[in-house]
Amino acid sequence: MTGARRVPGAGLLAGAPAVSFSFDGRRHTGVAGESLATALLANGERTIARSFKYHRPRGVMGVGNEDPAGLVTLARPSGDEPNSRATMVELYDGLAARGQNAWPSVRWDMTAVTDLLSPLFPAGFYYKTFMGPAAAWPLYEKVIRRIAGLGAVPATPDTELCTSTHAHGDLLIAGGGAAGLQAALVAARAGARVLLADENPWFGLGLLGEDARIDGEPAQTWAKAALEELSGLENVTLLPRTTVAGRYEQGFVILCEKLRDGPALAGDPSPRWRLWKLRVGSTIIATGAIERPMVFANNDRPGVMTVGAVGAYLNRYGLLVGEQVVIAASDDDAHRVASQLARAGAEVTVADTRDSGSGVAAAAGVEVLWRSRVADTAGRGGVAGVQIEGPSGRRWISATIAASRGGWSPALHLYAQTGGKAVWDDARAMFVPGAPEIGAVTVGPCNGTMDLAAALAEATAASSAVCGELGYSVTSAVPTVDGADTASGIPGFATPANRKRSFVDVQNDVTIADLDLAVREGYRSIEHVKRYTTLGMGTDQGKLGNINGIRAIAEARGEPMSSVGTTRFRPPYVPLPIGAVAAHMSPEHHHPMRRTAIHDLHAQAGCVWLKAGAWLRPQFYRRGTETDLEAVNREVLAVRNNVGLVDVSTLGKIELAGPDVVTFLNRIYTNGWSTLKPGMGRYGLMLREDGVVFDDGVTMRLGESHYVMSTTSGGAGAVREWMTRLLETRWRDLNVAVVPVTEQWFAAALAGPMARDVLARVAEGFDVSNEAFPFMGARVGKIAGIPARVFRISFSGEMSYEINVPSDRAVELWKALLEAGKPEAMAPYGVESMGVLRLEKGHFVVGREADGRTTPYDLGLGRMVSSKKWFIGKEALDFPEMKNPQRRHVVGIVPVDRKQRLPGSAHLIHADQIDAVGASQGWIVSSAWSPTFDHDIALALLDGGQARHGERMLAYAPIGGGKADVEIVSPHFYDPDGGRQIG
Amino acid sequence: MSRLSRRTSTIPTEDGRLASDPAGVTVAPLTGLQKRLVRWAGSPGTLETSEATVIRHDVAVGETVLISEDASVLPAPGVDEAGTRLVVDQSAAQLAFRVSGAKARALIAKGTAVDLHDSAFAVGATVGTRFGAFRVLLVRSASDVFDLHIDRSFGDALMDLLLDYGAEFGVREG
Repeated sequence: MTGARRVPGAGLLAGAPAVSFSFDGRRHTGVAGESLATALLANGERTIARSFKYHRPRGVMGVGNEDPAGLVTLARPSGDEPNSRATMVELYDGLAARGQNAWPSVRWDMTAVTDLLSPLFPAGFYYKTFMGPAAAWPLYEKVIRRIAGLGAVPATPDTELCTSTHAHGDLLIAGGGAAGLQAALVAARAGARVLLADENPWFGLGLLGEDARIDGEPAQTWAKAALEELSGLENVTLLPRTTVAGRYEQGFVILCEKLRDGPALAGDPSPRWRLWKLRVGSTIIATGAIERPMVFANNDRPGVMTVGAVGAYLNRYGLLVGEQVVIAASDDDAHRVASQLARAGAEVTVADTRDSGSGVAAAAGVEVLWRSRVADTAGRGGVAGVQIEGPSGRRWISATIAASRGGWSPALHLYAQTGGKAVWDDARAMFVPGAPEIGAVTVGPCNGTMDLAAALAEATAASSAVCGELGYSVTSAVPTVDGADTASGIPGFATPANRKRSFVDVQNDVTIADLDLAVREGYRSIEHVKRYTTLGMGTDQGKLGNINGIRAIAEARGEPMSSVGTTRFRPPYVPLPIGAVAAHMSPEHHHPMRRTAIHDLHAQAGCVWLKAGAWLRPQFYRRGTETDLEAVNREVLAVRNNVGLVDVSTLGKIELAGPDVVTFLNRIYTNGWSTLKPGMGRYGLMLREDGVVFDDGVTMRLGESHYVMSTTSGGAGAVREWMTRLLETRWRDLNVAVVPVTEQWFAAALAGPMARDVLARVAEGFDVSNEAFPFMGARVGKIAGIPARVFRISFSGEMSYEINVPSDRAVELWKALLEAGKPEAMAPYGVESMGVLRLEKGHFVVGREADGRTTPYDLGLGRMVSSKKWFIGKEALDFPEMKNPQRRHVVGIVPVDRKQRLPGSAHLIHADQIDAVGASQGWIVSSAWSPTFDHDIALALLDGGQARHGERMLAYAPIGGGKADVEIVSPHFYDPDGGRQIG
Repeated sequence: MSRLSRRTSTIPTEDGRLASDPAGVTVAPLTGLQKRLVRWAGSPGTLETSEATVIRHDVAVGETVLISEDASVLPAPGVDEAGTRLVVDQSAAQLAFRVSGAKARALIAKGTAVDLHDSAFAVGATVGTRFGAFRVLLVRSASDVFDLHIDRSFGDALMDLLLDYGAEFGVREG
């Protein structure tokens, strides 16, 4: 056992309640709020995970986000969370965690056989081993996939609540250590809008265990007072447990705030994560430096840790991680940590590479070995012994914890994410930020400034400068510091002897030997070596290992660190839960559906809903136990023989006014508008500049210079934008006002031979007779007492009146019309029936027969193309190719044997070419059963179709295999002369 | 039954009435507003408005939205005599929702990237912005009161989103 034990009264959580939790089914006790890693260490759980490739036992190495391999799966009521960092999960009562990537368990993992077979799995093994025989690869892949990996994807959806918010400020300070707190104080006192974020539950953790004094008081007291002052200011937002995850251009920053780790109580709507989408003037990056471990043989065993982490477990959580501790370092601060451990009761040995240094450890009874370093570790399931190499040779000593510090690596990720280059500083043996990035300043250890006094001075200067630029006046001075440790000692990079077992990346099992191999095989660039060996590609993104890896590559290449450089830094800094990024964007919120003003009435009438673009529309209304087809047939026949009512409010409506409206309409429609009189309307065809049909609809003239245009439901926005763009760019000399009114007016159409009878019962203010209100007329008056515009237009081919009222009176209108239609037993019909009715008439639909390639000629609407005026698309239509008789034309299709059903998605081919490639001469676009004709009908696009009426072909659907003999006919099946709508 | 009335409050009240909670946020439909959209054909002229009873939002050059509870202070719909100005009644085209309470600003901040701080969006300010997936007109009617105007057809969907955003604050439907 490690001999880990809690020190009474020590740490920030002294007095917190005890809670119970479990790991791999074993029940333990911990302290509420401490990290799961602390609780596991305290309870002697050394092996909590397995490495990705070799399944070597893994324990806790660090204390925060830098920990490389302490990943567990949390079992939570809202769903499993694989790959949870044990160092970042805060313990709650009932927490259940289990190990990953092991069988049967992380303690006894049979798949660790891969460690024995490790010669078969060097870096890039998949390019070398398991290559043959080729037929066996699927088997190799299946087995390797089962063995490799970390957590398992949960089988059930995650129901945890997450939220996100936008935010704004003058200044974001990333990192709540000494430098960050000071920067925040300066700016907050000056009145700036400040946000201060730290990934930990507490601010100022870097000052824990420090002996320094700031402004005459102990560092921690200064930090506490700073926090109290900041939390009392309304221009300050404090964000603990919040990781600054990504910094982008123009002051845009993403932060991920954790609100709780425990599950939500029943009925509690509090979210777990909040994603902040922040926009600030400037960011001060005070993210500190990450400790870099030393590399030595078997430096991946559970019990191998960093010096800072060991100190933090004691000072932060009151936990002594082991009874026998070796500390390998080259600076005085490590001696202070050693002395703290010794005073807490541990047996400590320090191996320092320097000749001499601080005496504080020795004074506390610690054995200090100068000019010494750690060479190896031994022990099953965790460190039991450590080999020290010194001036007099090597010796093994008994120890359960081997903590090392090889140096510091500034956490300059936020600086580099917008492209800042990290520069190697030989004197300090670290990569430091290079040329400054716009809107961001690095201060303190992340800037390479390890000394506390200098860090506070940098923070003050940076914050003052930002405030000055923003116009806030600064009153704060630089705090004085005394008693701080001076950074000293250049940690050497060791050249370990056993390179195969000296690990650089502990999560992905990348060793010095792997890096040697990559360079030997010709992978020189750091970006290539990274991908080839997977160095730094794990969930920790190489926070502890990358710099050691760069050093190994530099050595193998025989070049300096500066010519190797770092890989590119990309956000996010840590893995983000996808739930936090998605937040409220469920499918309903991401793609909201539009509802007509009488949505509820449709539902009450038993409609079946259809998603038509962004609209929810009734597809048809089912009565009793009708099948879909029975319902649609009933509705269609009611319109043909009687009268029906349909909600057409989704169609686009745009009002136009101004002296130049007619000129404008003439330019955008293919047909002419100069002769249209007030009170009448005309069907118009709108083309793109390449001559292809863009939209269609009826435009009514309401007054002298007042028109209302209708568009397709899906085209309303596009047509309005198109017209506005033309008026604001190409034709600025035209005075036309364009206002969309789709939502202002609800429209319902009465359609059928009895429509006029129904209309007569409700109309006021105008004469409904055929002479007074002819086809294509527009009248203004009242319907059932409601101010209305009535347009006599027909899509169904029957007599039809479209009644428009303000949409806040839509319910009233619909009910009044149904009441008025009772003598005829008038019933509503839906979009499906509308489709059958228009198909019977041979009307094309934008998006179906007008498929983005068809011209007016292809649609058989050549008579609508004016030869007397210019319009958009005219030049294109004049190309000879546009009148090529072999172009695809719209035709009608009927089955030769009227009882046969037409196959869906069928191509039109000659019957003897059924297996020939390239045989398709066209295809069926829209088809339906026609109750009017008692057989299937369809519209199709057919090469040269207008000249092929009467021809017989085969309709063949290769997918599904349906076939039918068909005849090519005119697309206008029903009432081709249009007499029924005019009468 | 309308979706709007089917929702229940997430925090029960003592006597069953929906009471406004100063510590939370309330979302309620705002009715009785008259709206006009004024659009010039060509160069825009001047538009006099009575400031006391009118919210004025300039959408673009030559296009203005006027909102008031009193129709008499708004221009009548139609084309003016010169034929260069079109006034369209939009009173039925949109629905409005009032978000009020101590957490109103926090709720609105979830949906829009507009800076809502007093220095950037003072009482009386209006802005056309994106809110969630919607295009809305956002009005700050008071320090803790934000109104959202949206096309009628999206009204139900917006209400759903507001209640979703407000869930963590114990949102009440007014």
